[in-house]
Order: sequence, then structure tokens, then C-alpha cells
Amino acid sequence: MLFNSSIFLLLLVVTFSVYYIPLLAKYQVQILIVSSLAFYAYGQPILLILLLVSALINTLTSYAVVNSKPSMLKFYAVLGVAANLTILCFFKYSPLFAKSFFDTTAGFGHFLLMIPLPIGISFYTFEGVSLLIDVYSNKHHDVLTIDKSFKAHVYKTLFFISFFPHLIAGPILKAYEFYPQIGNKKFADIDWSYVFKKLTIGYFLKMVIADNLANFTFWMAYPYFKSLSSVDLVTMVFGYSFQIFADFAGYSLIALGLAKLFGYNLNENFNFPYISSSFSEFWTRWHISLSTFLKQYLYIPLGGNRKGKIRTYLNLLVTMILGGLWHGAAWSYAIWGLFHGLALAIERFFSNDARTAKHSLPRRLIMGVTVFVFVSAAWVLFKLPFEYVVDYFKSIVVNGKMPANSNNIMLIAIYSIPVILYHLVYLCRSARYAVSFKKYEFAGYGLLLFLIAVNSGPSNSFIYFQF
Amino acid sequence: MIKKSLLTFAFLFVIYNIFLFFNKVAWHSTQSQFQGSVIKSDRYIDDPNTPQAVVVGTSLSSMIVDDSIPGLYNLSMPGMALFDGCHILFKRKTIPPAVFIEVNYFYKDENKSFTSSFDSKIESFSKAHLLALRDENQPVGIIRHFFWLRGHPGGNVVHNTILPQQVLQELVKNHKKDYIHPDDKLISNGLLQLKATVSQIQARGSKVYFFEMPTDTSLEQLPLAVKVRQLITTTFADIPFLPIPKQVFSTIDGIHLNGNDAVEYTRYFKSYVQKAALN
Repeated sequence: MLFNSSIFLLLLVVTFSVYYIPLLAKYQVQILIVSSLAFYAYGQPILLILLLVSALINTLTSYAVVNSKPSMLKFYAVLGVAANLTILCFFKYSPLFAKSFFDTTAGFGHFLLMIPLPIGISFYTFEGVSLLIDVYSNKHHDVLTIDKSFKAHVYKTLFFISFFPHLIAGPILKAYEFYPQIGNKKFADIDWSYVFKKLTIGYFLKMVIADNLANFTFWMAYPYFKSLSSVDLVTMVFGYSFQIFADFAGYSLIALGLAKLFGYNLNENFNFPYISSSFSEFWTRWHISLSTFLKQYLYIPLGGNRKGKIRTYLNLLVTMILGGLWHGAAWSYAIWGLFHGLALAIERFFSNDARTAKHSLPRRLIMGVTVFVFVSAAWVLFKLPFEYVVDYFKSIVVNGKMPANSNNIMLIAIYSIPVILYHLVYLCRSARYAVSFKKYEFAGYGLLLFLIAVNSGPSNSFIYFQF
Repeated sequence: MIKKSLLTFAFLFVIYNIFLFFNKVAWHSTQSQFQGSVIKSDRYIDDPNTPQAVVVGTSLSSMIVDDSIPGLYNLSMPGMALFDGCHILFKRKTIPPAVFIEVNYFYKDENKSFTSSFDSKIESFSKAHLLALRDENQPVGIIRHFFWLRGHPGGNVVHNTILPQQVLQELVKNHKKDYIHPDDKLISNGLLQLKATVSQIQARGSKVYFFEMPTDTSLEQLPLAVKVRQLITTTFADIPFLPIPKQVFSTIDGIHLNGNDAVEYTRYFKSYVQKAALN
């Protein structure tokens, strides 16, 4: 179910209306669970079973970790994490395994290839892993407590896994951040201004920017790119970079706004990533919930930067390659991860001090542009199968003499400008003139609403749904 | 803040509708291929006059320049199938007396995500009554109309890129793979659907005509093209069929005519339409 579909709007209105009825106050969690399951089942009803199985595994193992003998704690935690990862590998990576090692036209290879990819599986599996590790490590015992009552724990875990704003494309929740929030919510406590701002910017980025840019970056696909000029091809690379940001950041903002509507705080998933002047900074601003997950639950347990330089570079590479593969079952994602891992390792090699704030403005600007260009080029691995990526860049070199399509270039530029402005407004937020403009921000939001109403692109699903 | 924002929105929306009401122009505001299809469909559905004839098909026949054939509306859309065009065709109470169907890829499935948006009554009603909600009136499209297309109507429609020979050969080679091994199951399913669609058109009192669009000559005698031709002429023996002309046409990518040849083919097609009108 898309956040911009009429059926979702109906579900939201019904859920919201029932949720705040005083008589039903003690069933708020159950109401959101039912609504979330309906949200998930709308697209692929049969795969609801998998979501429920995943939630059940996490409920049982996390409960067992807390309530079993000390000698068994590790066993239950490992069992739960292994079960989560097995499910993820089976459903997500079987087709890649089949294509790499088997004949996919018949037999076992064909069976593996045909396994459906449940929407959101990468997100809810990681949330389950977060629950088990947090409970086992007991690092957050001051905020994360597991109910003595098994029934209450079932509700909380099912709610944590399935809460619809984050279910399909994140932000990836950490158990210690979400569990303490579960409780009774009041209508009077809704922060309407926050909800309005997040939803307006989120829907604008998705419907006006990403959905329109998708029409122009469509031509990046094979064989179309072969017939386009170098200028077109380069413009589309940057267009796709703005599109993927608008699509995913838009989705995340909508998720934050919706969660807040029901009284829940989700962490920001994007923090103006294209102003980054280093790769390490980029990864503190892009898909924050994934990068912090990988850092906390993979990079640090691998040893982080505590075991010497070589081991640090290796840990960075392993973390980023696995992070790449988390996005999808294709080698192009692993190569994308390798690219970012290498960039982080090289950056670290040349300067152990990744903090760039003390660099001069021109230097930061040059570094910022460099990072943006490399990050944008790497997104081509998200857009095209690997066998065409090399061809795409080859076409950029070879097609120099072809006439450019000024129509496409101008429109990509027009739809990219708001993303650039969005970042600029953030950069200039503390300037004196910016502060005086703040009182007119209503006009900006009014304009965004107007553009959502009259200039939205054709409704496309969110890019990150496929992950 | 929220109230003021909503008021700003309402103000802009009303002003924009008033602007559009007093400027009823057929804007050259198409920004993208998909949006072009939506605009083409909206204009067909809402035109107070029913055209004399309509063309449905794929991107191949979307190259036919309907401006040069009086009374003809080209509902073939890039990226779409003939069934998408027919879905739109049936949205009018009366359909044109003559329906020309391109058969090259008749088995291609309908794009439900495109056609379903025309089935929503709320959306259709609001589009019909609030000009600002129509795709052809999007502000960015209108800005584009003023800045880049003034004096060059349709300048964005015909794609005249000449590809390097090596690239063109690679594209033709790719098409050949499909043309040498036609998907029989897909074609037979498509044929059933086509039969149902033709009956539906005929039941509404219109006459059906088939035609085949020229492609790269090396594709025209391959199994897929031969099979399609044979199936159409034998299954619909009583329906007129316009074969491809004998001359050689050049294409952009192996299957789509280039700009000049599309004009050339339009001339040939025009005589077919005119003969059909006389019958």
C-alpha cells in the first residue's frame, strides 16, 4: 500500500478516528497492530504469514533470553538472530544464489529463482535482530525492559515489528528507542505543527520531485542510454541522485509524520546528506537508521577501529559490502558497498581526522562537490544491472558528439532545484536573514501544498520498497 | 502556521484555476512520455466532439502524425499497448466510427497502473471540473510551454536522433532475438483478448481496420512478424488489413520510424484512412 494512495488515506482516517476514542484507549496498541497488518496484507496477503512468523520468533527468543537460566541466554539470542538471518537469506538471496551457481531454467535453480521477495523483509528482520541483541547485551536495561507477562510482550513485539509507518521502508527502529515509548497516547498531545511539516515536505519530495524525476531518469535503462548524448547521460546520473534522495527522504519524513500522529517518535533518517564534505560525514547523514545499525551491530562487534589500521580498513570494507548486499540480491549492490567501503578506507588512510569542520570553506566546497559526484556516480549501480553499468559510463565517453535533448536536461534541472534549495536552506538556517524569513515559512508550506495538488508526477512505488 | 499555510494554498489554487479558466489554451506542456499519454487520453475523453477515426497501438504507431489527417485522433501511446488505447476509447459515450488497430505487438498487456487512474470516478470528476488538476495544466509544463516551445509546436514529439551504426546494429540484434523466438503462449493469450476487444468495438457500431507498422527491414520477415501477420489475417479474415508498404523505411532503434520516415508513412496511412472513410 502506497502512502500516496487513496486506500491508504482511508485506512489512515479510520485508524486515527478509532485510535483516539477514549473508550478504546486501552486497546491503542492492538488497533495499530490490526491496521498495520491490513496495511501489509493489502499488497501480498500470503506474505503476512512470514511477517507473523518473524514476529513470533523474535517474541519467543527475546522472552526466552530474559526469562531463562543464565547459561542459556546466549543460546536463545544466537538462535533468534540465526533464525532471522536464515529467513532473510532464504527469501532475499536465493535468486542471487540460483543465478550465480545453478541452472535457473529448471529444477532447484528455477525453484530458488521463483521465491517471492516479501516487501520490507530487510527492514523488519534487522529490527528483530536489534531487539535480540539489545535484550541480550542488556546495555539499555534502564530503558528496555521486557514484560513479565508473555501476552503483553507479544503485543509489544508485534507492534514494534509491524507499526505501519516504518514497516516497509524504515527507518529501521532500535528496540531500546521504541519499546519505552509504547503506552497510552492522548489526542491533546499531538504535535500538529511537526506532523504538518513532515508530511508536507515528505509528500512534496516524493510526489512532486521523485515521481517527476522518475520520468526522465527512466531513459537510463538499457538500451535507451545507448541512444543518448553524453550530456544527457551525465545529467541523468545527477537527476537520479536527486530522485533517490527525494524518494527515500520523502518516504522517511512521511513515516516520521505519521508515527507522530499516533504519538510515536521515530528518529530522523536523513540529515541533508548532499552537503557532506567527506564520505564518513555522508554516512552520518544518509539512511541514518541503517548506518547506525551497521555501526552498532556489525562494525563495532567486528572490532571497529580498535584492532589496528589494516583491520579497521578491512572492517569498513566488510561492513559496507554487507550493507550493500542488504539493499538487494545482486552483485551490483555488493560492488556499490565495496565502492563506499573503499572510499571510507582511503579517506581514513589519508586523514585519520575525518572531522572537516576546521577545513577552509573553499576546501570543504571542493570536497563536498567531489563526494557528491562520486556518490551520484555510484547510484548508477542501484539503477542498472552491473553488466550495463560499465556500458553506461562507456556511452558517456563515446556519445559526446550526439545532440543533447535540451528538454530532458532542463526538466531534470527544474525538478532538482528544490532539492538543492532544501539543502541550502538548511545550510543558511542560522543566517540573520534566514531567521527573519522564518515568520513567512507558512507561505513556503502553502506553495508546497499547491505544487503537490497541481504538479505531482505519476504515482510510482518507493524505490526502497524493493529492498 | 498550519491555518496560514492552508489559506495560502487555497489562495494559490483559486488564482491558478482562474488563470486557466481565462487561458484555455492547448498547452504544449508535455514534460514526459508517460504524462504525454495521460494528456492525450484526457483530451480524447473530454473533447466535446467525437473524432471520425482513432488509432490505437504502441509507440510504433504513436509516430503517425495525426495533425495531418483530418478527423483522426491518435490514441497510440509510447510504452503502452493497444489495449490501453482501447480502455481510453471506451471512456467516451460514443466511440469513433472507424478504429484503426496497429497489430505489430497486439499481444502486449494493458498497463493497469495507467488505465486504472481513468476508472476513478472521483479523479475523473475533479479533473473535469478543476482545470488545475489536469496534467496538461501543470505549472512546470506551462512554464516549459512559454520558454521552450513557443513557435515550435510538437517539437518534443518526434525523436530524430541518428545513432552510431554500431549501436543501431546492437539494438536490431536484440530485437532479432525476440523476433526469431516468438512467445506462443503470450501471443495466443493476446489473440483471445484482441478478439474480445474487437467484438466490443463492433458491438458499439464502429468498424475495425488493422494495419502493420514498418520496422527495420531485417525484422519484417522473421518468425514473429510473419506469425502475427498470419494470425491476424486468418483469425479476422473479414477485417481489412493494411500491410506494410514496399519501400524501405529507416528507424531510430530498429523498430521506431525516424521523424522523416514517420511523416512519409503518415502519407501512406492517410490514403488508407481516406479510403476507409469512403467505404
